[in-house]
Amino acid sequence: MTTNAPRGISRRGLIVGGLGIAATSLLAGCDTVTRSTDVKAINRAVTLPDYVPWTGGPEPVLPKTSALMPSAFRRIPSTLMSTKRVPGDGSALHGSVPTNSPVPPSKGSNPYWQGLDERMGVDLDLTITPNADWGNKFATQVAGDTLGDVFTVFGTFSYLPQFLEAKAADLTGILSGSGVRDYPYLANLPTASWRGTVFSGGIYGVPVPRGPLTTGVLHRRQDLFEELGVDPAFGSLDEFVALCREVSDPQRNRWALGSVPTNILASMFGVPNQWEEDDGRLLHMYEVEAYPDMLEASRKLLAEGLVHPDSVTAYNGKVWFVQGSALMLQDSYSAIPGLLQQAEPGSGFRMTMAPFVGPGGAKPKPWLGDPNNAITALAAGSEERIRMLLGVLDWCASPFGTEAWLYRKFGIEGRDFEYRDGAPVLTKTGNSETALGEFPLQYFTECPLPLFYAGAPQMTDVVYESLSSWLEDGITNPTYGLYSPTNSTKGPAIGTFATSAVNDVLLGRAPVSGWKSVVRDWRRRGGDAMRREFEQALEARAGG
Amino acid sequence: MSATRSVTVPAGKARKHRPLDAPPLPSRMLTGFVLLVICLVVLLPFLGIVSTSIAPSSQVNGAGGFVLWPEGLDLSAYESIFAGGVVTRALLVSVGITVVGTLISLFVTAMLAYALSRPGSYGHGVVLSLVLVSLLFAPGLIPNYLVVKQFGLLDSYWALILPTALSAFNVIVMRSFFMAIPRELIESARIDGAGDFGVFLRIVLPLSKAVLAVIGLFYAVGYWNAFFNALLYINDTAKWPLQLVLRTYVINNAQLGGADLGTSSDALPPQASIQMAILVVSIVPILVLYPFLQRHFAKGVLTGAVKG
Repeated sequence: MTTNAPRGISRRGLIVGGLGIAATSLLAGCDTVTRSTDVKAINRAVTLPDYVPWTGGPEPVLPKTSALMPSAFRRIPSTLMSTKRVPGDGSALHGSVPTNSPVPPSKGSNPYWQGLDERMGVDLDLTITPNADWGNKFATQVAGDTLGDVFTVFGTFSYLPQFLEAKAADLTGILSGSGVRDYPYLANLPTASWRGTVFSGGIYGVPVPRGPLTTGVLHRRQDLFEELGVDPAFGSLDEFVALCREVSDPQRNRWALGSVPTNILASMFGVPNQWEEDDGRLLHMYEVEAYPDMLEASRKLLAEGLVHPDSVTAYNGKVWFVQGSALMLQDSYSAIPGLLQQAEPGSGFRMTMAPFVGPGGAKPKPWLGDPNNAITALAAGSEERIRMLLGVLDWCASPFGTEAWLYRKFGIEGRDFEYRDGAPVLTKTGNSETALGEFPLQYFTECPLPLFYAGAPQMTDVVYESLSSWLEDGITNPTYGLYSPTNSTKGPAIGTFATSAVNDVLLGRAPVSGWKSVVRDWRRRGGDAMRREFEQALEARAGG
Repeated sequence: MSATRSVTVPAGKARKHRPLDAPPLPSRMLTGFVLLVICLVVLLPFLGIVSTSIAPSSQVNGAGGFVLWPEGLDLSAYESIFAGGVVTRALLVSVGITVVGTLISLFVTAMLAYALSRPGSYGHGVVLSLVLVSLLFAPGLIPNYLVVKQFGLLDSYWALILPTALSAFNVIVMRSFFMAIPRELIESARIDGAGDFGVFLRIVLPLSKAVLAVIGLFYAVGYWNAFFNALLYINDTAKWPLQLVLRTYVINNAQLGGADLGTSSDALPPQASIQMAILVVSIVPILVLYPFLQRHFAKGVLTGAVKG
């Protein structure tokens, strides 16, 4: 359910039309791109880059129980691996990237940024755009041909394969198979992430990986549960509802949940992660019998007042969680550092994650988050130039345990950060210059995210324990990395229709018994077309 | 016969006469009460904004993110915003854009409005039609961007001023005001030897201070609040105006420090405090202009609006 779905998606949806016009005019005179209706050609398979895990760094402190498990560290190693090679050739590099953080000072007054130039060997010039406005800016940049050498691409735009074919460098010849081994840190990016960069049978970008930490989980205020003397464990839906009832007390400005915990309930009801594949045939989660049951359970949570009353209209879950208005919050694992930062020092703030529960006591199969945040494309150019740019991206993907990683995250020691109890802590200057440790260079690409929480080493164990309890059984969205023209052009509108229908049920404006007619409408509006195209895409990707 | 009656008024207690049609006391009390409530409804949110921006973290967190009266003074939210000098620089950029842009806009608007207010001026009908057409049909996002790019204005402060320098609506309002100036005044100036510019500068403008003040305020508020054109046209963040910089703090309700990547820093002020501090920083400068221009409002806008 999407009661608190980020509005950015719908904003982006609005710009799809504008971008479509821009892309159509851009591509009108281009005969070489694949036709948007040729689903099989657009989804042709390609040999993905080899996966060569980087082994030159510090040994993780906890064993990898799954290939997906991030490397776990409690502390920065005393000796960092040197990243002496300067990949750039001293030329100017113009990039277009989004940001979710306050904008950093410009290069002239930002020694951290100047240090990046020095280490990467380029004159880095960034066009930084707030994420919420990315769609508008991207559309104008496409029309004006001002995207630069390296630019972020989100998967929600219309005619994306055609756009990439027309404007971006095809990296297949350089990165496919063993070619990626020339860039050891890019070779360290997981195969699942590379799948998101393939369009029309070519590799048209480098992933910006996020891995399993994008998975939504139920965070718990462990300190507040202990204060109330309530055991936060639950093993079934009934026990979960009983727990929520026990701790909710609107008179004291306290609710069990910040929002309807979709991922937790989906696991309890066995609802598939968007689509379910069975022998090449797809079924959407809206169409399975368990979905209306999950909706009904969600509606009851809201109706009983167990969810924060502003969760649908004015969602601010992280703030409620930190201040104790919501004792449990569904959010991604990657939200943890932000929650820790927001907690008042000395307040006793302590958080854990609730385990997933399967349907009827069966093993839970939680929804795995998408492996990438976005992809980064390179402007078409000479092979020499492309290889240099890939070298810069390789530097940006240098992993935990390298000097480059520490510099990217924390900047200049003594100015941007200092060590406290052995952990690097950003100073006020560092907060500003590194954009709170999220300098938008991170949208060029990143290393696979480690489990590391500076200043809170115990969180590494807490998160590791949570991940290891389900990671092997997490289910992926089978359509990830596939392209459906209908999804690309009509997807946002169809998504808005479905979200409204879900909210109508949750808020009691429509009976759950009417869900079948919603599904019929959803199929007619484009659901069936998407299914057909994704099935063709699956076949093409499998080499059929 | 008439009897003379004397009325004795107690010394020091000069009685005030109440008009016959004055409402009774309870009615006036009710009116006063309603006005008081309305004032509170208007002022309380503003008080809450200022209080939340300066309240200690513990109070803001404890109160659920919004406080009406601070228990102490904590300026860390403002320190966070102004750290690094990004906001300070953006403030200067915004002030510069607003001042220069308003002057240019007033100049070109007044010139055009005056020309259109004089019947028989060259191309009067055609130019007026073009102005009205621009009021009805606005160009789209991408055409605007391409024009700015073709003029070589990308990453230039002029990109924030020139595309919006002339508002057709303001031209119409000002033209209406100018048309209300007695023709005899202008004719007498001409008899005294004044040319078109002389009449405009020495007769028309001095008589139009009210409408200039109001239209100037419209333009100033527009330039001050604008962020979208800067988003499109300015790539160098050092040239971003205040509103765009502040927007990066509040868009998407983003959690400051919501790091994906495991960094950590000193404890930040509560998000609510930072957001409220941003509101204060963004609205106070333009707010202080209003008292100085308020007296021109009714005359400037209404006179121009009803006579046309």
